[in-house]
Amino acid sequence: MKYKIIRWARVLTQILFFILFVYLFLKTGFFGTDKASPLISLFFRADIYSITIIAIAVRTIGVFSIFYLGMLLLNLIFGRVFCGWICPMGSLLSIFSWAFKAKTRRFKKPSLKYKYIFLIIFLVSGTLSLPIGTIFDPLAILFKSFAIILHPELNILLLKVSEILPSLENYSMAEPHIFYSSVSIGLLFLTILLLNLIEERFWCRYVCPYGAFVSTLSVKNFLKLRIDENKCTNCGICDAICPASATPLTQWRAGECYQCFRCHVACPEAAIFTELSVIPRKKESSFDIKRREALLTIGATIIAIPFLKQETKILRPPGAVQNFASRCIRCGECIKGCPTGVLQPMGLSSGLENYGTPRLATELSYCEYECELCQSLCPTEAIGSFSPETKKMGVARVDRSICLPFAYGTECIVCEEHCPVPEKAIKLIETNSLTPEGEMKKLVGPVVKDDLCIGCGICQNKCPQSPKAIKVYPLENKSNE
Amino acid sequence: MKRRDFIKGLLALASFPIIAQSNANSYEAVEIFGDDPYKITWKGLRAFGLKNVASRGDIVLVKPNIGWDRKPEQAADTNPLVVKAVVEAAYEAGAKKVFVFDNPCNAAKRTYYRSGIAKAAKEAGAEVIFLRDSHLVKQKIQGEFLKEWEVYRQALEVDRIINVPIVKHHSLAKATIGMKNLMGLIGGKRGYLHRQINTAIVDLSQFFKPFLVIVDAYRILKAHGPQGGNLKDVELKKKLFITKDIVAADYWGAKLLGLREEEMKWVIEGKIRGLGKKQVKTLRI
Repeated sequence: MKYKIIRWARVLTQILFFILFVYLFLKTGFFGTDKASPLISLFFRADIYSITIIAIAVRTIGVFSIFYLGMLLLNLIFGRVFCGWICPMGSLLSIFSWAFKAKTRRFKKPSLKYKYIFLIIFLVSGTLSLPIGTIFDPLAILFKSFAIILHPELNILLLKVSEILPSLENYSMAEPHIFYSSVSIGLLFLTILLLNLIEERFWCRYVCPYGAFVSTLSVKNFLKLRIDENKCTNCGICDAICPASATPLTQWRAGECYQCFRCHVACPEAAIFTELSVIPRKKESSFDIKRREALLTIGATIIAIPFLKQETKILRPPGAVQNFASRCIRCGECIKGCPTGVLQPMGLSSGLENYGTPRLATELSYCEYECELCQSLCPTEAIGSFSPETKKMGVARVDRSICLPFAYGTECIVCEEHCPVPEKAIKLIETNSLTPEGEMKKLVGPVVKDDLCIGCGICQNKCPQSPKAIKVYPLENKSNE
Repeated sequence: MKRRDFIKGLLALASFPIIAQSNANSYEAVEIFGDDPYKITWKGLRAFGLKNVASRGDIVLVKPNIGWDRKPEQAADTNPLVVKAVVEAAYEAGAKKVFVFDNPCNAAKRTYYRSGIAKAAKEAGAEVIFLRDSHLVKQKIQGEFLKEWEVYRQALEVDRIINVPIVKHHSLAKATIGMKNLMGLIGGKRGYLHRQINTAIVDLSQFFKPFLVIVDAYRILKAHGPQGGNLKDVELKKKLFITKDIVAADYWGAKLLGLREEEMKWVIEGKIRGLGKKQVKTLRI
């Protein structure tokens, strides 16, 4: 009875955290103020897996927050509760299994070691300042899937419906956004979901590096599962229903256990109980990975990583720190929050190092001069502090061979008009230019002042010419990656 | 009867409707000066007559300049308190519904919020809507430069347009006041209009025929327009100008910016094309 209540409490907690995740997702954006509360990106500030990788990659403890420490302690003391009670991806997979009544198929169960192999690869690559592990953070995958696929899709649907019911239009996004890389992130998300058809929480058992990290932390936790051997009939129900393959009966793996209390409830003899203790059970193994395998993985990663590194000049969000790709956890907070949709996740073509990190896509939109939202959303300060006056992302260049006043003798000052810098980074100079009719005309044309230009890209977006006669380029002297 | 008398009589007869009208409303414009933008707007509108704001049952569009993501102190957008007073006045005059919208140059949501206009207009009971490309309809503008253009259907569906511009510097047109403010009701590649900006905005004024123009010169932007950003370029004038004559409105605003007559090409073009007079009989309060 007691365990039934705990189990229902766990289900309720999962649902509440899932709702919180969706609520905070919807609250990520511009709602009248430029400062977002740090609680908006709560899940990522408490993201012990990705933030640990980042801390290793940039060698700083500056990324640790009170939320991080709280989550760390929670799992150290009580076991893998993140996976069982909090993780919205885990909850989604549980709901998925419940909804689709996944039949336990007969298949050769993979070893639990693979997720530890992934974890080792990601931690080692982290120490080599290449935090590719954050790509596979389930929270980030879920958040980005919401941000760049589900939300825009729902928005388009809403706009279609509102053609019939106009009143619904007020609930849609202010501007319909499009997003890059949605296919690859969508496939990743879909794979995780569909793996669940093979076995309940397949991703969490065998693949999830976040889960492996939490397992490692919680292997010595104080909530000990016990089996009353006088009552136990060795029926094996507990082993069969365990969603974490922690096998309480045959081979107890304390680190794998989600503390879900499902076996306690399922045991026909009520032989399973949990107590606060430091003494491990008799037959207890820690990890399903051998030392030799672990060492091999470390070696292979060290050799492979340098081949993945690539130097590219990229337009980054305002305030981006020097080693941006090392500090960004690819959570998608800034991408979701950006009110103009200029921050876009980078695709696979930009290399694993940059995959999923935000880029300033000036060909699509522009950075709003007075907007400072992304810095308060960023959980790791990869987007460091800045103000409109200190923004410097790139620099604009005019192509006089297509610019209307210079090349066509036609009046146009659109870029200058839109330049948001108070002193105007685009100056208008007098020029004599030939019209297509061969007439000499005296008019004004734009010139960019490099020191004033912040590279926001509004000029590129508003330029009436096609292709654009003014474009933003990454800064030359600063390595932007 | 002498021929001269006959002609005199004829002239008197012909001018009768004009005199009758000017008797009913002896001023064609009101200029107000005062410390509180909200109060002076109300005062001015009362002096000009609320019947000139809206009639009973009207659906009214109050069209401020919500062009840029700036704060009210930066004088890049119409003063939110002026908008609030105009919306309230329209309702008091009997309007059934008042809409407030614009097609901003910056991100619409930010611009609506940070200009303070969305909040002020909602407080006054206006319906504040965001415009979308799907709202655009092709319209025959039949102007001299603009023959056909995409216009937001919401602007076509209202009974009256009340144009509430702010007085700002503009690098190409020299100033942006009433006529140029109407560019917020059209979509498409608006940059194209800059090729013949003066003719284009007169075309738009002819097309939209705003019922009333309320020029907000509480703060004006004297340089680096139309979006400014630097408080040094802002000057406190504490003035407002209310008229039905868009040419007079723009002339008044342009004078305030210190433009010379030959720089006000759109005012001159508007006058030549019969949109109004430069100077009108003005009541100063």
